[in-house]
Amino acid sequence: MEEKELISKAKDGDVYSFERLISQHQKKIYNVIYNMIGDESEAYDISQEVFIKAFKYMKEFRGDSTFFTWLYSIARNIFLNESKRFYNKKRNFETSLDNNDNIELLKISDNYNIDKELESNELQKKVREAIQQLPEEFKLVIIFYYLEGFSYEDIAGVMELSIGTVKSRLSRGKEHLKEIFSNIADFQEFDSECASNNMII
Amino acid sequence: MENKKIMKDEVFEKIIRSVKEKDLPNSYSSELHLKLLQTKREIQSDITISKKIERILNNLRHSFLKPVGITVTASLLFLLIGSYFYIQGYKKGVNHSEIVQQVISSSMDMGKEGVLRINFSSVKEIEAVDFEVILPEGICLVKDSKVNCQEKNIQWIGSLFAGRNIIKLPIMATHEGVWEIHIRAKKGNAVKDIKRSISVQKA
Repeated sequence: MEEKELISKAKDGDVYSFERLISQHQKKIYNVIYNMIGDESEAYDISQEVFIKAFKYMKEFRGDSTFFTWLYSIARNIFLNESKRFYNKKRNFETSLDNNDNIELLKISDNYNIDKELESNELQKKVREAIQQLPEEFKLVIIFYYLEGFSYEDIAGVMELSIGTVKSRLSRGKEHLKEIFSNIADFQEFDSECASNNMII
Repeated sequence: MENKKIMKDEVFEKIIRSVKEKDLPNSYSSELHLKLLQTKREIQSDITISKKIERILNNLRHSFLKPVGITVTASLLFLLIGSYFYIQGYKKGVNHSEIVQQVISSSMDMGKEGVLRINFSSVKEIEAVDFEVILPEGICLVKDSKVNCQEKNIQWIGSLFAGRNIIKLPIMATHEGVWEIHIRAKKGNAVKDIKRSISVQKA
């Protein structure tokens, strides 16, 4: 069944068609939220809220944009509201920490193997924690581009930004994230390890 | 210096792109399916109510043309709108509590352990809230890794934080069927009742 037909049926309240429409987005939206807030349980609830809201408002989808853009626009608003609420709640629980205090330093061993290290869950967790420290304006753009593989055009559509702004936010976000990374691990040392592994082009 | 910059970008990309996608939890799609069905029912019931009100309002509009009926019509209209908003408010519980409920349906396989997740959204921090969970016949509590089918009424006192609060209770489905779990949060005169239906099927 074509997307157009699925959309039409979903607008009439057909759950099965709606589920087929969102099937390829479920995992992505769940992951975007998980990467934003780092809490599986919250990501579970918030991502389901996105799909429920989309189903409720299907009739309002006029087809001016693609279904993908429309769905992620709903998701974006929920991400931003919920992540603010999540951080406010988290602040109630946790004592305030310096920006990087809650992240352990990555130690680079003598026999450092970057590929092996990157596969470890521990390092992935640290990368996610670093992303979560980014200012809001960069966080989603970075997640969409680097983790979800969205194009500039897709991000621009979803975020309602110009492509120029997306590129600029990506570039600034990247610099910001590098700075956070370098506070987590000693990136100079990291760099030299990579250099010794012939990683320079 | 130039080499170093190129290398840094490459390392950065390698690190960030190494983050792997997490798989969806097992119950994700089935729970979403039930939530969508429930949303569909809610939408349909809202449409029915709106249509009924529209029909009544249309009838009332006609009676406005008759001068004698104006006073009566205005009173009826006032009562009707007032009742509608009262019923809607009552249904959402806004008259009785600042705690907003979220009703969720889900499914479980018989003999499988699961976690009952109850969401409470509170507009402010509330301390000393009385919580009560009543489990139906087909669902048992899991306590210290043991199934406890004797304890059906679980009570405790806790706090709600401003925003989302998630309460998790390990449970096991023991009998096939659709079961309803009752959850109550009480603070003074404010009471919030939540019903959560769980469909238990053979594994």
